[in-house]
Amino acid sequence: MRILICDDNPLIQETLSDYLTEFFQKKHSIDLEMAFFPTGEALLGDTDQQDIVFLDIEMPGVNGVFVGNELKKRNRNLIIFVVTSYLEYLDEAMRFQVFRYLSKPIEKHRLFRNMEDALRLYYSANTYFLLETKQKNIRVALDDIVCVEAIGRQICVHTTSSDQQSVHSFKYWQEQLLVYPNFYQTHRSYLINMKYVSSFDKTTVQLNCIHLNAYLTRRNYVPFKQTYLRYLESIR
Amino acid sequence: MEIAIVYILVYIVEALILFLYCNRLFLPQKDKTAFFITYFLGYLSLFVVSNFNIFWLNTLAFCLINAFIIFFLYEASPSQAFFHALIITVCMGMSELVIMSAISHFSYNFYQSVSFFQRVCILSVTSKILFFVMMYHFSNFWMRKKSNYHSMDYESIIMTLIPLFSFWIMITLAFICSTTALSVSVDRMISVSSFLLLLVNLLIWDIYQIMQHRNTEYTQMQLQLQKEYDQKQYHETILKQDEEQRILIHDMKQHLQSLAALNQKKEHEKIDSYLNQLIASNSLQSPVSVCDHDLMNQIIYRYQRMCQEKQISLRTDIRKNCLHFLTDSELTSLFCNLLDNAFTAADYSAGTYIHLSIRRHEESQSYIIAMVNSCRNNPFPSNDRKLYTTKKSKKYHGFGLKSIQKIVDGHNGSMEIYYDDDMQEFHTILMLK
Repeated sequence: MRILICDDNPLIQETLSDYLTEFFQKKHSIDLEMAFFPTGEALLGDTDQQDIVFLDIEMPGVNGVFVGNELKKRNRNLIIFVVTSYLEYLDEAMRFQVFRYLSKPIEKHRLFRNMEDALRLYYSANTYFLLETKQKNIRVALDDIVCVEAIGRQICVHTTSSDQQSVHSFKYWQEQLLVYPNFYQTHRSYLINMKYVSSFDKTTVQLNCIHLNAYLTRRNYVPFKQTYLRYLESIR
Repeated sequence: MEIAIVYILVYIVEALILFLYCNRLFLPQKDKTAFFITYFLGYLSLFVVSNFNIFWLNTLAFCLINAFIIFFLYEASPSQAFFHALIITVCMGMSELVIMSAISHFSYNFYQSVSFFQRVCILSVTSKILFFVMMYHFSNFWMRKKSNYHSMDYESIIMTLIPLFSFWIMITLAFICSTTALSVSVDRMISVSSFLLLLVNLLIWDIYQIMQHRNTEYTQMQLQLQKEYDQKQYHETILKQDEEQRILIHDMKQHLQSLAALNQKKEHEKIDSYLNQLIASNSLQSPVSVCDHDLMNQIIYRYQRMCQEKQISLRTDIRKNCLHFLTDSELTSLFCNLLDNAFTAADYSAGTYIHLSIRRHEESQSYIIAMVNSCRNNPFPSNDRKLYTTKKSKKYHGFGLKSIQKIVDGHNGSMEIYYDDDMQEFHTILMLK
């Protein structure tokens, strides 16, 4: 994972670096690389992999809003934290999707909590599966899987672009997907990606992007509601 | 003559039931005199028509006259007036049929053994009670469909027990009348009692409505007072800050002289500390806008000041256009209650925090409000969903959360609260459509 820190204040760069190092010490499976940039122009000149960016808005030279916008155009999955000492309302000025606003001085526990959410989003966007069907093998991003449905003996994997009949069993998909916090089993025949839930009631979960209503068992309604709301909190 | 009096009373009760039904659903568009005259003339016509004893004529007249009353007196279109008049007519017919068959089930020789006068009294009172209950629940149904608040009125469902008990009393009276030879005076007493029973039912429901209305008014008044208090606090804070700034400017010369003296003595640490104190001084702070909603800015500013005094860090992340779907009273009630609870929970040591974020979730077309605050102790001591209060009054608490829940329900939303033991944080998540 490559994290970029763009701030003209070396103290802020150092603080963020220390905090992030401490945070990732507990995440042994992640190979972390950090890069530091004093200006927006320098950041825009970087062409390597960019996963997470900490961007100061108030920098000399190129406007932070412009930089953020350009970075998002290049990589829509880029996670951008806006770091600012300016307490006034900023969102109106932002033309790109800001993941979180962090105000200076940076609070460690707040940064850690937001980094947990950022990591969840990062894995969701950067994990791929090999979906084996009878005719071919398709590489599918975890984020693109909307729902896995068991129809009799057949397992249908609904993605954002198509529906595919998987050769693997429902149990295989349970083992693969339920380790990710955005997947939930609402019924013995349905595994859904909470990212695509548009509404739900006591018996069904509506996934409008593929016009599918997944069943929800009554005893699962309260646990699902709790899990879904906590999921929404993590991606807010 | 007595039968005629009974019928007049029955028509008065029907008019009253129609009046209560229409007042719940429609806005009046005429004055009280017009109301009285229209109802009087309408139901007088019905009384006259009923003397012809033609069933279809009675039914048609009932439907048309009610439709006219609704259309003329209330803000209702002709189709609405006709629709509701039809509902009322059907309910009237059903209530009478149900009571007639129910009474004959309990007392098979009721129609043979009881006098005509008694039969009319008992049947009409019982059927009007049923008619009233049906109309009340129908009006509840239409009101819930129209309004933003979709929560069930559980109290009115429980109050339905009163008419049910009344039915049983009426059936008992019918049974007594049909099996026992009663004197004329006892007969009359039973007839009067049955009408009084009907009046009692109507009075109870009417008083319930009045109390609900008063409760709503009281709540609105409290919200208004809260909003005014917030504005007053905000303006007082501005004035106080203005005053402090003037004093600071006035003292500026003295501060500069002190700094110059410290500089001559080369006491750099003291200069540093002195400067930090001045920078952090409240008099140099100005209110900040944290979002695009003025009232929300006022509320947040008030809590920021409170948090500053207690050294609680309050951070917000409120995205654009996320609050305009809430009314001012909902906004005040929701966020003041959320922040009050968070402030109380976090007020145990310096360095605690409250983080509030609000943003839109496009997929579900809803707004997500998430608040995290420091909380020393797990407020779910027994691992069930019941929150434990630290307030002195154990009886009168929980109204803040109830108020929040009501607003959430009103927006077809959901609420989740949980405690993170590792981080000692309390999380509140609201999803509002």
